[in-house]
Amino acid sequence: MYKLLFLVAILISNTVYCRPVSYTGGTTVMGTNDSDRMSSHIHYSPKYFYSLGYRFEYWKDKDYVNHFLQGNYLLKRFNEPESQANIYVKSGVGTSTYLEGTKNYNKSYFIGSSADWETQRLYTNYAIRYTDVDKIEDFLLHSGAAGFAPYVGDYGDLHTWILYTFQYNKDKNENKLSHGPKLRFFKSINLLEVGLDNNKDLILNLIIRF
Amino acid sequence: MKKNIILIIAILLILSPYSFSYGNEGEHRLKMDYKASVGSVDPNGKTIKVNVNGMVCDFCARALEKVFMKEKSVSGLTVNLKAKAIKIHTKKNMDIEDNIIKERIKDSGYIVSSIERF
Repeated sequence: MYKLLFLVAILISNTVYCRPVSYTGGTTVMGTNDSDRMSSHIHYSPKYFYSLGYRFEYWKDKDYVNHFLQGNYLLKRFNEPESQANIYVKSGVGTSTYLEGTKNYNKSYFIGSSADWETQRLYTNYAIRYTDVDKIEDFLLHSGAAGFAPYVGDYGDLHTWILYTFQYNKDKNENKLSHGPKLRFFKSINLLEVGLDNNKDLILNLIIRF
Repeated sequence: MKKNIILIIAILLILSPYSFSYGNEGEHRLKMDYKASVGSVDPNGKTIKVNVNGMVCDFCARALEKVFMKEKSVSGLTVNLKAKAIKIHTKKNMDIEDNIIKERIKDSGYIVSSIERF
């Protein structure tokens, strides 16, 4: 059921980059799949420096879901003639429940931060997030990507990026590292990322900003 | 595993418009002068060129369209990603003040480097 909801979210989504804040008045919807989780996130930016939204996550190993009310804040933006960099803080509060068995809802929250830097040719980002899900687990998640554009397209062209991405999930019992290449394509308000990680899991991100 | 990754990258690169992105600079400049990226160019309106810091990504620059096309005085917008500049085209007998331009650029996530009026 939740997998179906995720797929529907991806199919109907019109969203944003990996950036958690849009332009003033902008709405963003994102869908993500990687080796650890499937998630979707929709947010609205009343101003260009913060956004409010809802996040759904399905964590595959422990078979549970999170529902978060999420806030994102642009801490600092560096607009330079040839580059842009951003630092964000993010947090969410909500409930979590296993998909199978008793349907008890547990309190959960997360706090995190992310940073990115890009030019027309180069891109890199890093994110860190601490998540505490009452009675299920708590963990620290590091993720990031770096890559380049093989060509610089004009406005309106299909843009292509080649990236290498990683995700490191550290909890009390085990540490899990996944990494692999992915391709990013965007045209107009649509962005698609597809790749494969070292566990042979599909990396799939779809974003549409509207 | 490696073969699959290489195969996927190869297929996606072949499908990308890489080969069509070069060699059309002249055509692009022509489009910049006579055609807006969004909306239209009113021959009786004004054109204001704005150099924008931080405008490096097509996907994020879409915000400029969304924000400026809400302005009543704006008929169209031309975005030149490579030059990091936009041209704001106003409707007949209408204008948009510099402080409003700076505020809308800020709302889009960027800052103004300079404004040139023709």
